[in-house]
Amino acid sequence: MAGYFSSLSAKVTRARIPPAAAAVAALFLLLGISRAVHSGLVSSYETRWDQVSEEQCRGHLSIAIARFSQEQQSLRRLVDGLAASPEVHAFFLNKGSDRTPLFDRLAQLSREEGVGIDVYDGRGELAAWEGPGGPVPSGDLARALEGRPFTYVVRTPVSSLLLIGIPIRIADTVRGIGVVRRIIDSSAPLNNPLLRQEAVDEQLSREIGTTVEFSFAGEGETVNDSRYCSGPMYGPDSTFLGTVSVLRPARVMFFDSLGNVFQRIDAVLSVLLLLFAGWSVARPVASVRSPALGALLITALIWSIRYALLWLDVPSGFLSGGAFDPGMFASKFGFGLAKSIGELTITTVALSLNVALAARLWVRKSASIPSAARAPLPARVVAALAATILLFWILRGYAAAIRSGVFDSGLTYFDARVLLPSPGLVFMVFNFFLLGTCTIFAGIALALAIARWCSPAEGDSVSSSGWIAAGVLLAFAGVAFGMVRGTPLTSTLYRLVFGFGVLMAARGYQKLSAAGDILELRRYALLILAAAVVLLYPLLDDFVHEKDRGRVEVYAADELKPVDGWLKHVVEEGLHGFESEGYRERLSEGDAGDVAGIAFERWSSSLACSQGYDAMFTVIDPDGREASRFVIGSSIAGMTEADTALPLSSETIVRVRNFGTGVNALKVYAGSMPILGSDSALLGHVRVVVAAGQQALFRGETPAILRGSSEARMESFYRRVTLSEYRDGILLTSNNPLVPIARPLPEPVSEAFTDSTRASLWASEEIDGDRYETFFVRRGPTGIISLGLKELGATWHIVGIVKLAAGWAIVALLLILWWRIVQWRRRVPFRMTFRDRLLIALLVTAIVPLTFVAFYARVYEGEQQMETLEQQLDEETQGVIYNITEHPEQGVSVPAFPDTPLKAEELASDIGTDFNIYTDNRLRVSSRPTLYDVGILDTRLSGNVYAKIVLGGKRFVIQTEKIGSVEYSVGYRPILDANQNIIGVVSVPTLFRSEESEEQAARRNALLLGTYAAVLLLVVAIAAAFAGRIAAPVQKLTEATRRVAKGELDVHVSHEGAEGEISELIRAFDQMTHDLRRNREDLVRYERELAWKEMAKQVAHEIKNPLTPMRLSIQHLRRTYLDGAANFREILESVTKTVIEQIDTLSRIASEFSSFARMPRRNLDRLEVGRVIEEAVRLFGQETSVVFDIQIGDGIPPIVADREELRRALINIIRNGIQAMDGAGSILIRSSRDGGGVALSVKDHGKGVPADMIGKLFMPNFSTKTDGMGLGLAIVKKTIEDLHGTVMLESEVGVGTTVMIWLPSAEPERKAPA
Amino acid sequence: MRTTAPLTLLVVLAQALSPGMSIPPGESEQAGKTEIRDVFDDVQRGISQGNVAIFSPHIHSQVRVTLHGGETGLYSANQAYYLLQNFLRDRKPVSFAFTTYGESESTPYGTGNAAFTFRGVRQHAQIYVALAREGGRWVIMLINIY
Repeated sequence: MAGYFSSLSAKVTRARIPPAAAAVAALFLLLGISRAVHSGLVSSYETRWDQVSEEQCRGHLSIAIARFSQEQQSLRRLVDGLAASPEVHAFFLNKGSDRTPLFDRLAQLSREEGVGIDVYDGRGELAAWEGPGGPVPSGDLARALEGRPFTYVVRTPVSSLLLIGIPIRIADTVRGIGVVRRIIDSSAPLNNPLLRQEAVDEQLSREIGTTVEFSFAGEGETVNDSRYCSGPMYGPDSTFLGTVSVLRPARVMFFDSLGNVFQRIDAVLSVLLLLFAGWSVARPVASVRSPALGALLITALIWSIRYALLWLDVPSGFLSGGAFDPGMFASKFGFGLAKSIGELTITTVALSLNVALAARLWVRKSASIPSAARAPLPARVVAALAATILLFWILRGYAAAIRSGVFDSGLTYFDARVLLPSPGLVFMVFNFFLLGTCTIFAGIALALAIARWCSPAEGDSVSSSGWIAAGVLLAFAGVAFGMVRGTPLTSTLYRLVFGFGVLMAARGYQKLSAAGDILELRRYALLILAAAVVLLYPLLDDFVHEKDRGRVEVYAADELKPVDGWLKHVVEEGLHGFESEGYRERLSEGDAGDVAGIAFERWSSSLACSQGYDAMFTVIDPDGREASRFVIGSSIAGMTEADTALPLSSETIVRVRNFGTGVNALKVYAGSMPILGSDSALLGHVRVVVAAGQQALFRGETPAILRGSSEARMESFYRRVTLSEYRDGILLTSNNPLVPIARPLPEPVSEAFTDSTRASLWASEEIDGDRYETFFVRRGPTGIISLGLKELGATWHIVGIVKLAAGWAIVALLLILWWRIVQWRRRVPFRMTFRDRLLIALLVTAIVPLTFVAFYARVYEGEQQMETLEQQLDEETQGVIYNITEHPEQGVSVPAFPDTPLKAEELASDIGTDFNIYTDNRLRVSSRPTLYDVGILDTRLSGNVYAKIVLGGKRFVIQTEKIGSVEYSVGYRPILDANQNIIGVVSVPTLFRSEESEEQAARRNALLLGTYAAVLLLVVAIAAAFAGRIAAPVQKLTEATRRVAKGELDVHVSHEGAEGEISELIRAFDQMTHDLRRNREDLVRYERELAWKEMAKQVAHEIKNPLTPMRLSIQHLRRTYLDGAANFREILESVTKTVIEQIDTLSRIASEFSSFARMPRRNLDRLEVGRVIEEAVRLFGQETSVVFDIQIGDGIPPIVADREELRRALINIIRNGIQAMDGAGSILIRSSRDGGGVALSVKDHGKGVPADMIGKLFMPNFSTKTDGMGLGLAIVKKTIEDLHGTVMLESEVGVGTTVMIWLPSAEPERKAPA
Repeated sequence: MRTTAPLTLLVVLAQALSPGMSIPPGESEQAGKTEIRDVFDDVQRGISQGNVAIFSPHIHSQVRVTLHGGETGLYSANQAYYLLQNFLRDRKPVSFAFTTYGESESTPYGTGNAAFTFRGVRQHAQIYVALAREGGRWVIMLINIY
């Protein structure tokens, strides 16, 4: 097979099929094969579907069962490892030893393995513990002490835990028991950070690609659902633990997924096909002569590929999340070109490629913008106006894209809570960067064109009046464009600055490109990149601000609108969710422990949860007893039973009741519904109560982390929103405690609302020294509600700019890296000026220590923060203990714990600190019982805390705890009685303070970022100034040396600003140029004299040759005349012919000398070498005895040369060849790409030249011919070397001569091959 | 007669061209209800056919979207379009019809049950759509597919 392919490859090569075309054909073939295989598989699976389905399901089932066994084994190994540990040995073998090391070991294991772990002693009493746990039945403990391990599954309202108890044996004697628990499945669908620990069933579902469900109900229970195949799971002693069910592959699903696989293969092949087809089309497009047509074709090609990718849904069809999630960003622009950040990135890259390729093509083909200078004035004015409108239209498009980037995305651009920009933000900044750069490049091109068309002068140069006229035009257009309705451009000033900026940029570009300074042009490009930041920030800032205000208005509308319909729906959705088969089964089984969790589970997947309403979900058994209840939010928790009660009827009922007045007005929507079993027997009733009102949303009332995943709520703002209500012009209430009670409505607002038709207005107000921009909106005849956004000061702008610049820097670094790789591949030496090196050295010297300082400052600041937190928790725990203690007389204190969660909550509210109290190592009361009630938090005191406080006697302990993905600190302090005995432990967690800590982080980050940004800017400015000052004399010297190298010796370098060695160097340089100048003058004089002498000698020699025959002929004529010769007439004819011939020779000699000496003005142009060769050969058409073989290779780059001069050089070489072959033979002319240039050779089959003469052939006056001047090849050499090329000659006597020429391509920085 | 006829014609024309004068209040309310029902009809048709473009012109610039097992939040109309389009691409609609309308309030709503095929399995979802008056027309402010 390999041989076949290599022979096919050889045939393809011989047949000269372009590789891209071969690839296209191969891809078509593969596409056909893919289709055929797909059809074959579908047909095969269709015929034996039942067998395939069963095999697949059984395969998945065995994987799931094996995985469950692995989990058990892993837990057993963990306990075995613990049993072998020195801490366990020390505890069991040394009676009465300190248990603290054992607690430490368990804390480490629990943290590392994510398990709860207990150690029981030989009497079955709990000796040490850590992590979540609960009581183990004494029967199991007794069996384990007899050497029999036990395994079972414990179910909590939110999850199921696999529990394994293993006897701890030391020297073959059972000394105790190790019990370990791990979450095996999660039954709560709530998308909450507390539950983000992926359970085994979720991992399995993801790995296998189908639904896997664990059921830990009783043995023998079969799953009747035919969509699943199920199997039992056993413990080590064959104890039945539960059932695992795997969703059977549905026929449609199976064939859909099979189709998806082939669809992806087809998409990949199609994309490759597109790329190869595009590549094969791109090369001919690049060789199109017209730059406009070439640019158009390239544009068409790029966008055809882009839209083809969209049509194939690549890569969105493969990747649905992350950068391709429309929830992060989506715009309908361009039929899906920006339907996600990922797609937008592909689009902006395509756009940049388009702009870059079109610009490159344009520069290569014509090197200039079309000049309309010779067109009549009206035509030029129209062209300039059209270009101006186009320029602002491009700017408008750019602004619209930025606006969409803000309004159509969920990204928070300037959120100071997070120090580093998120990946989404970096992607977006990258897109903005590309769009901004394209806009600026287009702006420069258009501004150049406008200035040229506004210039009265002819030709390519733009006069000052042209620039001024262009400036005026841009300014007027900028102002006028503001009148276009719906334009997303912000201020007139912005448009004017943009117009002025592009004009200056265009002028700078023209100056630099005219000077041909590539290095400066690169720096200029960097300046453009920096300008892209400046262009972006004001727009982004404006749009973000506008969006914030829009969101506030939406929230205001939410507050005002009647919500009856919606809230009834929320209640009904809550009720009907109970009708699912799963709940019915659990209610019919009547397991009290299981039913207790139902209310929380239903709530966690309800709209009431995701929308954040205060709610109560209750399950009532058929006897009218409450079986399960979950309450969230203080407005409902504070209500009496009578407030929320509804008759339990056989129908669904929803009722609305009003409570309170004014801002405290509350509407309660309550509904109840019977739940019937499959036999229509009553299983119980469910009741859902939802409260709505300004104060009713449970934010701030219940742990923020227990909310749903909705980010649309007001809390998702990165700055504080103050919600207040005024009645009759006086503040009734506000969620911001800084707003003074009974504050009057700000006067301008009050006046504005005297107009009864006014519904709302934005106004600025001051609250506690801070400025707020507030939206006031009328509510009822006398009420006004206000939503105030804290105004953003300088810190905001600094954070915004720094974060934007950080994203920018990442992008810029990647681009620089890419550019360096390209240069390295092209073997272009990296050029950096002395100033650049100096600047980098200074910046490194300054920034490296600054970075260390920043790092250590951050570490120190973190430690300080921890210390502050420790101190705060220490004081708060003391405060809680003080408040739960009674003081009947001086010096006597008696602990008096709150006996209900409500009392604890009231106390917490009074002292402003949430707390928990533990007695006998168990939670006694909590001011936030919700998380304990639903089993998310463990009610057992942390083992580590027990060891430190109870065993170690510490008076305060702080430790970091974790649930799901949330980490928080908790302070613990013992509660002592009058005899200093520990009677309990109080804990103060920071779990409920996420908003507070986020705000602190935002403030800290803003301060840090601002300070470091300012210091960094200062360092860069100082380093740049120093580097400039030190490098200036060196730069002057470099420039002067460059001029001297070009032949300018009249150079003088100023000593100003130079000191020490540099000053000496300048003096020495000046002296050197002075000496060089004098020497050159002497040399020139000497050379001139020498040349004159040589020329005179040569002219004399050359003239003498024809003069001799002329003299002899005329003497012969005179003698024959005097002799009266009879054939005088014939002699006269002969002599005059000879004389005329010699005069012609003299004339030719004169013209050859003239052309050698003459320095005509070159007319350089981009030339195709092949065409010049053809033109030169065409002149030898009359040479019928000479055969020309012309071989022009592929992909020859254009060169820069004077067409006439190059053609003359070729004619000289060809003529020499013909003469060397005595006018008959063949001449081979070859041309090919060689390195960065073009190689050209002319080979004749003439007499050849001896080796010792080859070196002299290019010298003037040397010739092997009798009739030549010896100047032909000298002129060729001069022509080629003037074009920075090389010419060489190879010859062999009797075989022939080859003249080899190499010329650089039109691309810069290409060198001749060595 | 000759002089008053053109004047009468002018008055009739002016009345016909002036909507405030030509349509009685009751009819205006009726027209509003028709407009609301048209929006709900478009939503129903769009979801049934799995084509968001049918009702996307009615989506407000900022809309709350809650999708079962997916996104929840306040999104722009463009984002909502693609979120719903992706949702309906993954779930092939089998049937959907609004069963309840609340048209008497300033925020009309419609709710109904939909059936989808998701990975070969039939799923049921409750759909709730609420409208609001914005810029002289009824727009979708809330879409819940739960």
